Amino acid sequence: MLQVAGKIRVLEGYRPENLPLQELSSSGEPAVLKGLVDEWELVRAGRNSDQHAMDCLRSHYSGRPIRYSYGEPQIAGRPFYSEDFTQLNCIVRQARLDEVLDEIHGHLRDERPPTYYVASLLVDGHLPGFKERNVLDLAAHGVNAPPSIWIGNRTIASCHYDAPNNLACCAVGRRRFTLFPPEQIFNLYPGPLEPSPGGQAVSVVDFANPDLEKYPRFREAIAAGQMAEVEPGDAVFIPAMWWHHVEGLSAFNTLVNYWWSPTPEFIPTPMNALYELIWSLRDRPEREKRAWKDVIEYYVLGPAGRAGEHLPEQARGVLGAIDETLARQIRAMLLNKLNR
Amino acid sequence: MLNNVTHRDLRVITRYGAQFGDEVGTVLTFPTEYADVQREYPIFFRKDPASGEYHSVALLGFAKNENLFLQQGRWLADYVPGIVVRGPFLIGFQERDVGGELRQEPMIHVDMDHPRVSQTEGEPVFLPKGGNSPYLDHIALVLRGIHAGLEMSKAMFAAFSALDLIEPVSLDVKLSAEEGYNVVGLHTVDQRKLAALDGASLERLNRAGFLQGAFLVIASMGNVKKLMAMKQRKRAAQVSATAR
Repeated sequence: MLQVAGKIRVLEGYRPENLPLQELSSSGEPAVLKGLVDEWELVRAGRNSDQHAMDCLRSHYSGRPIRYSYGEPQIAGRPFYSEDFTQLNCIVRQARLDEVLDEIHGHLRDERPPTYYVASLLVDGHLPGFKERNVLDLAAHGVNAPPSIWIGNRTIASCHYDAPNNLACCAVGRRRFTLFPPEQIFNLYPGPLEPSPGGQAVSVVDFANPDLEKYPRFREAIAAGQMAEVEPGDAVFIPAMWWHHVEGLSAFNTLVNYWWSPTPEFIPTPMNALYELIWSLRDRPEREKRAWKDVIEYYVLGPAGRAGEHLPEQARGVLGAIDETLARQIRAMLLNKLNR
Repeated sequence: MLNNVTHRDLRVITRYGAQFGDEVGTVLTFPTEYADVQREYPIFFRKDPASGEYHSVALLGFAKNENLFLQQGRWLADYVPGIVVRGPFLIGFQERDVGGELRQEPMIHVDMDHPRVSQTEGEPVFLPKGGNSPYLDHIALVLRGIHAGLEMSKAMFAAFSALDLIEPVSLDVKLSAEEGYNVVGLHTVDQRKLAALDGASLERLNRAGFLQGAFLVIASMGNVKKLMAMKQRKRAAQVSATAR
C-alpha cells in the first residue's frame, strides 16, 4: 500500500461566494478547500443516502444518452491499459444515466462489483438545472469553466496530468487525492500516449501495490507527493499540469469539476507540438538535440517577447503576439507543410 | 478503413469502362446533386421491393446494361454522378467521444477488391510522404455529398409520400417501327398533384428544400429526348459499321 506522507494544505472558511480563484491559480500549489460546496443540493442529498444522491441526479437528467466506461470485476475499479498495453481493460458503452445509476445501485453491497464510470460528463445539456442548485459561479471570476460530472462506484482515476487548472468538488462519497508536481513525470512511469484511459497517459505504477523493483524511481515520487482524503462538500484545487491520482473510496461516488486556463481558445494543445517534437527531434544526434534545446528555450520557453523584440513590429510574424488571425495562418501553414 | 500506412501505394483508375462496372442503365443519385444531374440525365425514383423505400436514379440508357454516356474510356457528360466518381471508396462510421457523448464520425473506407483499385495506374491516393493527395481531398468531398444526400433523400421521400406526390411512370421509347424499349419500375413526381398542393404544404416542402427537388426531377425529363437522340446516333453508327 502506498504511503505518501506529504499532505495537501487545507484552507478553511471558503464558500462559493468568496472562492479565492485568483489566489489559487497564481499560487500554483494544490489546496483542499474544506466544505466549499457543503450547501450543494447533491452534497446534502448524498449525506442522507446514496439513494437520495441518485434521485437528485435523476431529477436533473435530460434523458440524453451518455457514455461511460464499464469494466469487469477483475479490473477492481481501475480503468487501465490492457495486459499488453495496446488496448484498454474497460469498454466504452452508451446508455441512459438512470440505467447506469440502476446498475451501480444494484451492486452497492457487492464486494467485487463491475466498474461503472461516467467520466467528465458535461453538466450542461445532460443535467440542465443542476448548476442552479449546485452553484459555483466561476464566470463571476471571469473564468469560463463549464462543469463536468464524474459518477461511479469504487473507481480509480490513475495518476495523470491535465493541461488546465482543475477545481474538483467532491459531492458524494469519500475520495483520496494523491498529487505530484509536474517534474515528477520522470518518476511516475507514464504509459503509452494512445490509447489511454481518460484521454491522458497514466502512470503504469499500481499505486495499491507498487512494484518498486520494476519502477524504482517511484520512491522519489512518493517522497514528493501530497495527499488528502476528502469528504462530500470538500473541493481540491489541482494546479495545471500537476499529476493526480484520484480514488473513489465509497460504494457510490460523484465529483463535479471545473477546468480552466488563462490561455485563449485559439492556442491549441501542446500535445500536437509534443508529437511533432518526438517525431522530428528525439532521434537526432545528442549534440543537435542540445542545440535545439537552446533554440526552443530562446523561441518558446523564455519570455514571450524575446525573439521578436529587436525586430520591427511588422516583421515579427509568429515571433510577435499571436492573435486569432495569426493562429489561423499558422494552422494553414502547418497543414500545408505536413501534407506531403 | 483507409489509412496512409496500409494503403500507402494505393492508386485509383479514374477512366471509365465496362470493366469498372460503368456499363449500367441507371445509377443511384441524391437530391443533393439533382441540380447538376438534371442538366445531363433524366432523374426517376425507384422503390426497393424489400424495404418499400424510394431512392433516386439517373437514367444512363434504355437497357439494364447500357450506358449511352460511355465511350472509349470516357464519360461524355459535364457531370458524373457522385456514386460513380467515388470509385472504391465508401463512408463508414467510427464512434468518437465528444464531451461525454458517443458520436458517429464519418470515416473513409476502401474496397480493395474494387476493379478501379491499382498499385501502378491511376490517381495516387496519398502523397509520397503520406499526406492526402488532391484526389483524396476531392473524394472526401464527394463522399460527404453522398452522406448528406442519403439523409436528405430519406426525409424528401417521406415528405413526398405524405403528400402522395409519387406516381409510377412507364417509359416507352420508340426508336423505329421495329425497335423500342420499355423501362419499367420507374416513378416520378405527380405534376398534377404538385400543382394542386395548398399553400401550407408548398411552404413546408419549400422550407425543407424539397420543392426545388421536385421541380428539378420534372425538369430532368427533357433529357429523355437527349438520351433517345444518343441512342439513335449509336444505332446509326452500329448500322454503318456493320454495313462496311
